[in-house]
Amino acid sequence: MTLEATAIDARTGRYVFGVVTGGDAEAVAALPLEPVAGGAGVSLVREGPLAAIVSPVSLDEYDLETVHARVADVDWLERNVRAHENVLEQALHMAPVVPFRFCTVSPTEGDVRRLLSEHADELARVLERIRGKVELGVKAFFDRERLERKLAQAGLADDLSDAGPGRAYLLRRQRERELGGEVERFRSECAEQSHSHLSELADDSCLVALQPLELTGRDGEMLHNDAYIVRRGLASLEPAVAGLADRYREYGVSFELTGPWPPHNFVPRQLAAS
Amino acid sequence: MNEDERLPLEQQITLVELVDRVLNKGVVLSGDVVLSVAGIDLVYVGLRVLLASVGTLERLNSNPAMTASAL
Repeated sequence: MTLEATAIDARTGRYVFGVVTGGDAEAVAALPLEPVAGGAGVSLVREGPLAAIVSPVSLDEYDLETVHARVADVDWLERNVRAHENVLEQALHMAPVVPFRFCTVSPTEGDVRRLLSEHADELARVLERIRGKVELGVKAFFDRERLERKLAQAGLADDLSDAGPGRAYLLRRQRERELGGEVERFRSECAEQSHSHLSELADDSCLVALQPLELTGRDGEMLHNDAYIVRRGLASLEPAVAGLADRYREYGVSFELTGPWPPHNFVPRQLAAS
Repeated sequence: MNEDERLPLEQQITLVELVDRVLNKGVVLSGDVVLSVAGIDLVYVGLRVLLASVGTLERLNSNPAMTASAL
């Protein structure tokens, strides 16, 4: 279906999910892609060697104020975030895809063509760089009580081996004071070693902001949150993450591997002009 | 938001992962080829909605540092 063939009024913009190469456009267009809320189908807009995955949407529904209000509705948010991601993930199975930020909307199809031509060089470079790769996420969580117990035991066993009862008491008090610092030291060492170990297996990596306990819904605090871009899907990091989990389990640390994701964390936030 | 509107925990976990990526990462275009919607901090609004959906917003409001570290 071409957009020109569809009757679209002046208040219809184009929601842009992401960009693929023109060579992959046909395969991506053949996918059964579901639009975001209010979108009239999903299609490809081609310009030169590139193609944007778009959905016609009402500009009144996707203006700044309306989107701000809608994002506050958890059902709308969930539906649209999943729709955005599903389009990108399906495309990812067929071709490298540059993900755009949620609710990127161009006023007209001409504007979509213009953005493709204005940023053609950098988009082509990014597509080449991410070809055949996916993003994986690795998070680690720790159980503070268990970690403190483990660290306290380890330290005391050494210190108390040749101490009398009075000295043992003082040492124990001192250990309690030191424990807070040791927990922090352990956190940063564990995060750093996990990151450097996994980085060796990936093409690139980046640190992602830690999420607070309240947001993750877990029992443990987040210790580590990284993104990696790899060539062989989950299998690229699965054995290494399992190894880290074995190594740190006794300290109350658990690991979680997610993906494959479109390379959200490995595309530039801003595109240079061509 | 009442109890009935809260998301099941597992669904919320996945959604946080998604929101963190989809609203917070990816290419942001500027200029007149796009509306300015994507450039603003939607993730702040989105994460607050999710927090509210597990009924923790009140607790976080009394601890601004924690809210900030989510972003």
